[in-house]
Amino acid sequence: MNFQLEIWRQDSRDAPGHFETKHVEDVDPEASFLEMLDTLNEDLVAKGGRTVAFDSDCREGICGTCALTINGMPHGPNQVTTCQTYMRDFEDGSTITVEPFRNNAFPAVRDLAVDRSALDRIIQAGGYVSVTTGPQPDPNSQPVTPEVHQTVMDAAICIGCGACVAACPNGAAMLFTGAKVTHLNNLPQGQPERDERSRNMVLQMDEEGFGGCTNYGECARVCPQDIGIDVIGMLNREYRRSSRTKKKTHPKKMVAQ
Amino acid sequence: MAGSLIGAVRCGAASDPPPRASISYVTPDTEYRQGDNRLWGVGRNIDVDVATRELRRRRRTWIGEAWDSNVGKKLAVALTGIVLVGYVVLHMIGNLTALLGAGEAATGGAQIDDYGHWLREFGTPLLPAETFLWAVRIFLLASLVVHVVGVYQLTMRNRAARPAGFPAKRIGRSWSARTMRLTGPLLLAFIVFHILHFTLLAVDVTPLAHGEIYSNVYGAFQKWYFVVLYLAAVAALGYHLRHGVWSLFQTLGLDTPARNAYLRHGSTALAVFVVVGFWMVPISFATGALPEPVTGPNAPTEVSK
Repeated sequence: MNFQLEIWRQDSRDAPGHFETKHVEDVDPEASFLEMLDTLNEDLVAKGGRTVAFDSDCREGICGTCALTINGMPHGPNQVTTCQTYMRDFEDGSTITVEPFRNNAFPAVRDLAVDRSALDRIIQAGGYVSVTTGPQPDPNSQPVTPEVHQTVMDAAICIGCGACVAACPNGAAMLFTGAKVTHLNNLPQGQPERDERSRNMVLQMDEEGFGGCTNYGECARVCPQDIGIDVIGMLNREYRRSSRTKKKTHPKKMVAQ
Repeated sequence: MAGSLIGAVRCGAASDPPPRASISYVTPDTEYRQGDNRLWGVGRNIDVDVATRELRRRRRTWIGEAWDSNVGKKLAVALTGIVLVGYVVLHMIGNLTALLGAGEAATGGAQIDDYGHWLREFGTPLLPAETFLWAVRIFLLASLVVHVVGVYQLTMRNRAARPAGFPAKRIGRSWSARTMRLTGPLLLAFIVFHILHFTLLAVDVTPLAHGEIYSNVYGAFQKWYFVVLYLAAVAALGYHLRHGVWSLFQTLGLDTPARNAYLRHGSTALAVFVVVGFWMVPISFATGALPEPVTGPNAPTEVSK
């Protein structure tokens, strides 16, 4: 298979970027998109050019490192990670546009690689639970029903790739943050920090400069883990709950009269 | 830590070299700088950043914090949306009294005129006339202001969140969701026009008179352009409600997978109900299904008869 690639090239974060046309020939239809880019890079090295920088790690769809916007779709035409996108999914001889995940909270590193540590800082703000090192409570005192378990697992499956952010016309990170809040706020282990978690994660999300949700639901259409917008409803619900909860204050001292 | 080091150096001899040691506590610009639009500045000492952030977070009241956050602001938009939707439904049902006809001159004219009078006199004699009416008007205006300001600020933030010139591909947002920022301003312009037209009676293309609602509406809807304008405005309202009503349930966190279909179809049904209800009045007048008024400036005079 032969393709014409329109690849985003950007030397550094502050350098202006542009699209560059590259041709790849005799691509195996069974090659993954990243393997096709590897071949392209080998060609570039042989010719003495600068390789195209892009992120990848496990290449089996579980780590969430790969992040390319292919023909305007984060992760490409199918609802899977970029590494699970194969060249057979594209028409032979077609032109493919390859861009990084676009969001102002994801500053460019080089070419197709962006810095998604804003998502890490959202997790830092509330993605933890208190664990006592003393005597443990009886497990039967903290039951997790199969329904709760299912809801939580459906959210905990998030790999944090940031495709939801890249797909959002408003640049919001609601699906990501909603998945974290749904994951931890439904479990007994997450109850001590429940309200604090919702508040702090939403605050961090805003401070990173992500936009707000307008309920288009496009994030859920590109999520490789198929997380639904019900987690956004959960985040809204939890934030509403946390903003109502009064912070504990010391009672006023009584005086005699 | 950085602060205490600088303090120590300031106390030392003037001939001491500049405090190079304090630099190690400041993270280099390139490492900490993450985005152009971060609220918390760039390249600053992380410890100071956390401290000022905590201070700023603590200084706010819960309502200030909610309004500052994207989620809380959207919540305010949703809550004011409920008020506005509730008003729209009541307004539509009230309008349907026009369909009861022109009435008899002997009994004081159309039913809708009596309805308007009843609204103005609501609460009397307990309250002075129009007190209740003005309370409702002020409440609605406040809701509208919060709704519009909230949406405007959110829109500006959303624009800032994505790099300019690279809009996201449309991958399944509905037509009504996509046009919310178009139908919204159009509805705002229409509300201003509508108040000027039938409340302040300022758009007197056709003869208008205070309290003669049936006559005023009859006169206006004899002109094709008013009919088209009102039908179009109500259609825009329908699109706005189709997304907006479902969206407010999602924003309030009341939508769940089990309820989703009911809420979405319910919102569409409400939008259709409102549109059909509002459309009845101009269509009935324009097609001549409703009789001429017996009172007011548009009532036929003895000469014309």
